[in-house]
Amino acid sequence: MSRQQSINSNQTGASTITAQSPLNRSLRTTGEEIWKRSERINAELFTLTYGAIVSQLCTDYGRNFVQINEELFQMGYNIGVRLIEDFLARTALPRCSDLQETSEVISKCAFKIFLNISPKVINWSNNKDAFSLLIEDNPLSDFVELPMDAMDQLWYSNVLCGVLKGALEMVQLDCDISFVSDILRGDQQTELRIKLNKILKDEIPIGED
Amino acid sequence: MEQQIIYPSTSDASFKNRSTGYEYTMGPKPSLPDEYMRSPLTSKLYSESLNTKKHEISLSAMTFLFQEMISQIHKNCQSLNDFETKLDKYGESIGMRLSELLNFRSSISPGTSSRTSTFLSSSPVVNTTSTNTNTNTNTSSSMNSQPGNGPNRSRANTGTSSKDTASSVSTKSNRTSTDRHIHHTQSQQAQHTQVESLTSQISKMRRRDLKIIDILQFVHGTLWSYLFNHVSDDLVKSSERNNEYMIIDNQPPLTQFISGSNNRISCDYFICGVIRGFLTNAGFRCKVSPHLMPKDNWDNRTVYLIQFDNQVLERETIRFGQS
Repeated sequence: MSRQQSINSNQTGASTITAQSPLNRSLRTTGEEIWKRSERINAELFTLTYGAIVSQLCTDYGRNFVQINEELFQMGYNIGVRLIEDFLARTALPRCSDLQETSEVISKCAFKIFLNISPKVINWSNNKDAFSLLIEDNPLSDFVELPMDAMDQLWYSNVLCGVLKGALEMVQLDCDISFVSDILRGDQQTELRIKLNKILKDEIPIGED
Repeated sequence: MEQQIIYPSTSDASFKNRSTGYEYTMGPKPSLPDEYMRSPLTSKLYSESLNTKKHEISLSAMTFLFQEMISQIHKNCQSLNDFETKLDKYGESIGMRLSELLNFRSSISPGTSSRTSTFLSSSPVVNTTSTNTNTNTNTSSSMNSQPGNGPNRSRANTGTSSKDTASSVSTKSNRTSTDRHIHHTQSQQAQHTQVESLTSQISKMRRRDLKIIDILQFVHGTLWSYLFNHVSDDLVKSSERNNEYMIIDNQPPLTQFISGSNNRISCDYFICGVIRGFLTNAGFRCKVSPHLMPKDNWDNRTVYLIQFDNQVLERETIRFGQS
């Protein structure tokens, strides 16, 4: 229902949103309130389960890390296309007016209500079509230390890229999403890059008016 | 890689194949040449994994991941049996780890868990606190005096995480100090900052559970509250066979959104795997299987049936007599 609304609602006039705008604050509160209401589970179980999945993939694909990255991305994509329903149903947020708003929604609401973290939005490109999420305390990568051979190739948390890709695609945003750096690979920070390619047209599903 | 001199005394040639992560003949894979050039990871892995911080995520995130894991397995398996075995394997690898982790965590003496550890942090050296006993201040001052040797030695002393080390230190300090820091001054190089063993928070290791009933209590209580925030709903011994025990969950959280009771019960093999991995790693070999047994208002009430191997029962009889 809410998804329908958000898809059908017209794009409102774009207004530049700064970090201190009221909307931002309300997004933060929305995120926190929903988080308080939602059912929770131990994050370490999540961490360990994800670890089991990745290590099983490593065995299955004979440590072909490029392929594992793709597989994780695909898994994330499958999650994302379903997760967006859940997200919109919980938040009932209207359609974002621009990518800047989208970025705030992702960081303050989406990450908050699912993973209880709020990544910082940084490194906007000049024409405002790409940004980075700075992920601290990534619950996926707790307890993790990559072996030497995986350090140069494996994006351990690549499932997150897939989730964002799938979810954004379902709200008509065609994006390229990938990790730029990861603490697990010895980088200073975990940075996830989101670049908007184009806004997909609303398409009416076959068989409906 | 070519310098494998000592081969294990086995005719099995499979170890020569490049396996995953761990070189059978050589232990962990050796560092690459440029390993030393890398900046050290500021991983909190070694400093904070014992601290129980109540970190939570939403149930939906977990179930989404769980669902995707299941469809991943489902895609790659031929039969139902295959599916259940694979899911069980996933669970087992988690249970195995938990049996170590939870045992260490329940050994942490109260009052120390909130302390933030300074291991591998880049902050400058902190003075030892005044509550330290003589033993510890001596240790740290001797470390202070020789910063060059400090890192290696302190790693050796404190990194082994052995029960004996921890308990012997606590004996020396008359078991009075609850806030025992072992700080070691390090050289100014980045990777040699401050080292504090995880085990400094443990003064006395929890005794390993040796009786079936004790380890099951641990599963029913500690493991279940760790995983799901509540103890399991019941722990029952079978009246018909004396190697069978049952752990009962009225509403299994992970599989609650899966439709069709038969589908759901297969997915419960994940939790079975966790239990099995946990018990097996603790020295209690067993089989675990889920059974759907609705009762009253609980349509999803699931019974995890644990069947111990005969050797476990025999051992128990020998050690503790007929119970």
